Amino acid sequence: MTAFVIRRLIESVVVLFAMSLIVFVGVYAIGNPVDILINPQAEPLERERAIAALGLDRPLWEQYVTFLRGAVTGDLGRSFVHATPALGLIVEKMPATLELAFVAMLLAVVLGIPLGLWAGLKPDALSGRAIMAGSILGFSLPTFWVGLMLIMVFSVMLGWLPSNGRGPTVDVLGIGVSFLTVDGWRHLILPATNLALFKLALLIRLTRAGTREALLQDYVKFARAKGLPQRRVIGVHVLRNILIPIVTVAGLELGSVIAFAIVTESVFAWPGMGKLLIDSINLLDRPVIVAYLLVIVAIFITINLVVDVLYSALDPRVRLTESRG
Amino acid sequence: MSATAAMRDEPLLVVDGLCTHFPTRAGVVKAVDGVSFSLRRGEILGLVGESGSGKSITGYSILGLVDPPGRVVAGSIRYDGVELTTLPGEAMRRLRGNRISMVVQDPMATLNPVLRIDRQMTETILAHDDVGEALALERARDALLRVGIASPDERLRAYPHQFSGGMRQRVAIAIALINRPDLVIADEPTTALDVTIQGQILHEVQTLARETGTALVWITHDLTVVAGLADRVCVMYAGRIVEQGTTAQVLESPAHPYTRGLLDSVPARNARGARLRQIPGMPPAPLGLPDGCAFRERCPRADEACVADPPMRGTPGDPDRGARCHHPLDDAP
Repeated sequence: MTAFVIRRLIESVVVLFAMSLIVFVGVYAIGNPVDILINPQAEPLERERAIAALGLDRPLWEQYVTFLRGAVTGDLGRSFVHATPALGLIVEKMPATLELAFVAMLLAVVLGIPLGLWAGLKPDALSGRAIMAGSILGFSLPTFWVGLMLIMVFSVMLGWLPSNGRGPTVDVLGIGVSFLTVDGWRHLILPATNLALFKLALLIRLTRAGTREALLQDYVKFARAKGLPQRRVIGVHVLRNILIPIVTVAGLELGSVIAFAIVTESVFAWPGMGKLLIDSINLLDRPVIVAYLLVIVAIFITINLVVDVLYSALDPRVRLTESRG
Repeated sequence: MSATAAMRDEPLLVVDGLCTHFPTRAGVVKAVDGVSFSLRRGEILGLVGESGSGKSITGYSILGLVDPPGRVVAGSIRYDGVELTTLPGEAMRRLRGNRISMVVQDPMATLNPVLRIDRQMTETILAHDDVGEALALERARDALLRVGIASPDERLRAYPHQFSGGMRQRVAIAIALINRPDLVIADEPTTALDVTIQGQILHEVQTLARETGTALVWITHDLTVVAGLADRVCVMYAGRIVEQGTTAQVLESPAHPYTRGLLDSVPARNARGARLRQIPGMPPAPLGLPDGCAFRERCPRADEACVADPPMRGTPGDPDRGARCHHPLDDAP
């Protein structure tokens, strides 16, 4: 197990390096931040000085080497706009996004697996069909539109829940969180629902497909032939097997929720990383964009590692191959 | 179980006119269509037929485990005096794995890949008898020893993928026998195994069944397996039993042309170098079975009489011996 984790960490460093190169070159090929950041009426001399201060007078490779030197020591550059470390900006906004993402994913898992199981066990019943029809809506309705509708109904028409922002936060270990107060939850519930809807639909379909497939397996038939009660056949024999693909997909989806909550964060004015990214792209704040994408890559790598470890806990066949490797 | 001699003589299982049908969009598939047989305590019955003859569905019908949309639409299954076709779900569950158990064909797929063997064995005990983990584990250990698995303590903590096919089938058989059932339905449990392992397992199952007085319904397509194992044989074709009798009667002097054809296609029974005799044609499609004898299109003895449904013709003085044929073969082989 340790050898496996170490090998994965080395792989991660290689992936991070490759990503940094791609992202750096990609971002530096788009637009010219000088046009946005520097007053067009500025004197040519002042302009020269500003460009030099941002390091934009250097050739691309030199800029990259400078970035890489800093990155090794944990410095991902300074924001052009805020003149503070880019990583600091991101870390500051991260708790809001993580909180939103985890609540959304939790909603999707807690509702999606039971609903999917039900739909898989009763594919021809009205309830099963209704669940599947609902999941098609979850797939096909655009996130921003659902967000607007949620605000329309619950904030504007009913006036039950606030439409934007995070509300007051409580500090836990120096990190502001919303989920400890009622008011925090009131702010959290709409954006989290909005974000969860697509993932919920996905998990329902995945669980249903897995259940229907598992029910045809000989081991389920044999479990029934052993005289096990239905709840044990489903809760242990079926669920343990279908959890393997569910954990994989849920993990990847958690990563994508963290990285791409942008639409929901914009609709609900949620002060998270997604909003920071949009703002940074608008202002061509290159160091923040690069740092953001690298942080996201790191998050994906971490989640994948956790998924692989969970995987081996769930599937003994994986465990065996890993202990050999 | 039974105390009196009169009850001993009463059959353990009586299947009478069993019909299990599968309604599909294209029509009703009559997978089992009027099957009747009975089984005494400790008796071994071979249920023989080609794929699709309905032999497995007959087995699943007895356990109440026919996959939807399939359903037992007619007939009765009486086990130890209890009618199973109308038994409520919970009462049926208590019989399954406890009084009637099953071993299915593919040992690679029978055991749940993500659960340890000890759990898969003890849950079978605990579902019927709340004896506690420790005692259940003790029984599981004994059950593994009985089917010839060495170092059972170590094996109990293993997962199915760490076992060979033969070992897995032994575990499955151990699970089927763990609650000392009266009846085991074995659906081709040795078909997927090597011939040597097949021989060992056949021998062991036979011994175990004899020791514990467990009756067996052994479902197979392989007549050679039946020859060494079963007391009696039922031959199935297109959802019906076409011939029944003791193993010696059916194998040595078959009355139905289909049984004759099956016997002739066993290589070992043919003279060396002679061309293997085969049954011409294919089994009929499950949808739209012809009227009358379903075998008549492949049968060398068929004539216009076979358009009418042949009844099961018993033998005087021996109700368990008979064939469903208008033109049975002479007794001389």
